[in-house]
Amino acid sequence: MALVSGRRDDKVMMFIDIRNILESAQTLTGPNSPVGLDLYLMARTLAGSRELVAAYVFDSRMPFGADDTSQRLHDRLSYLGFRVIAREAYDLVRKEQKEVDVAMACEMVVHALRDHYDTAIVVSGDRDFIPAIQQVQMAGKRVEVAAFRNAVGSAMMKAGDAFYELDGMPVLSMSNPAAEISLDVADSVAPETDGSAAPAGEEQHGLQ
Amino acid sequence: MDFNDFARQNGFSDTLSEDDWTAYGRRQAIVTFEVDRRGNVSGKYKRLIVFRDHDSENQIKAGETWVCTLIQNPNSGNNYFARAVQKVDSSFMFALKKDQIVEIAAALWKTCPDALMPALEDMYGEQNAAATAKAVDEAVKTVKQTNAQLTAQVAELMQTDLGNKKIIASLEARVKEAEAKPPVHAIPASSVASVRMMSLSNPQFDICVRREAPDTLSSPVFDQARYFVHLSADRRVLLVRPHLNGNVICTDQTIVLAGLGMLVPFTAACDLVCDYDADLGGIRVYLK
Repeated sequence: MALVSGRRDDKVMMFIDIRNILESAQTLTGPNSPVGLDLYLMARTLAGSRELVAAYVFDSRMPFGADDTSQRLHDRLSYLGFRVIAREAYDLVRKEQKEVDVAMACEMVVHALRDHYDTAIVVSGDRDFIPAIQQVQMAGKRVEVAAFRNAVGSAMMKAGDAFYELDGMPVLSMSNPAAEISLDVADSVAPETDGSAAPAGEEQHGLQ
Repeated sequence: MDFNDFARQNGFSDTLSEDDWTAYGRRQAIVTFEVDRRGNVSGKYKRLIVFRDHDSENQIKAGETWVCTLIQNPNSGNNYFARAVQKVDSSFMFALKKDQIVEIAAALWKTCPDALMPALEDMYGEQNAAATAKAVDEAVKTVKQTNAQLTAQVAELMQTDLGNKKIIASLEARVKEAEAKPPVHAIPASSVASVRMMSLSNPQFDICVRREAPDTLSSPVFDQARYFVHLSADRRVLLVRPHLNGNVICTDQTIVLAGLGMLVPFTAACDLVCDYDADLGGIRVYLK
């Protein structure tokens, strides 16, 4: 139970570092796992009965002309209601994304200062976000961190006002054997989502 | 009322300055002429006697009211001579424009309401009485209509109330009948709804889910055609939610999940601990 308590009528904004969370999930389930992370259910479960005002997904996209496999994922997330912010700053040589962390940190701080939310849920285990989290807290907002245990350090777990371990949440979507299962990262989001609001308060989900 | 004041108040001569009024305007006046004690036709203006000017003697008669130009007696200065300008009679009044009449009426009402009121009361008394009687009739009619509507609504509400009482009595009878029956412990039609009801009414109620093969789960509560099934990353909890658009198809109360055996090792067929999660709207199956 978190020391700093939230309220049921809090406005919640979610900031998802999608590469961090997908790679963590893939590490847990294995490279050829038939299950995929259901970001929709995860977001609804983390928000609980509170008002989710926006859910931002941060990612990079390939420079113009390169083969961008993540476009399909971005389209699907946008269709589900996520606000996808994809920076066109991918280092093809070092194979790493650029600008994404700073973009997410800026978005968190700007929305906090504009009083767009009461609680920020940072879905990432990357400790680069700690300064941004501290700034958001200084703006009088509550920050909750959610990540898989294998991708988060103790500093990040302690940075927020509450930490949710995603490992115990049933958010990996399963399907029948007959269903076509795609194994690439872009398809690691669940192929379908029910669109129903699952959730309730955090304690009722067993989140710590 | 002094004609000059009246003319100035009503802006009949906006172009005239104060000096003009002093030099010119002050000599204009409305004077009523009568035969005085000496048999002369004269009037009064500001307590001074006004005689007819010799040019106007044939025009101005006793009993008439005239707008006239006053010329002060150059010898004594104690009286005026009036030179006729316009006779004020019914033809003069009828020749006035409507707005002029309104202005005159307003000015009269302002200066001498006591004189006008009795005359107006006599003139408009009947009209007012007729209008009041008409308004009273309309008000009475409206009240009667409203009363009729209210009576109809009361009757309708009483009818509804009677119907509701019958429904309540029927439900109470059914509740008493149900309470009289012994409690049911067996799983009924095994729908999720009924399981939910039982789970809510009895938290100790166990939902039975059996893992019969590495990828196969079966349960009497799996009576829907489609489900969403989600696994936790620590592979301990499985959430099974019925949904019309679910991606997991259920046949014969059995669902087969791709890769379940790979993710959660299977040793032998066993019953799994379950409970109903009212918040998530599904069954939590504890795999370990």
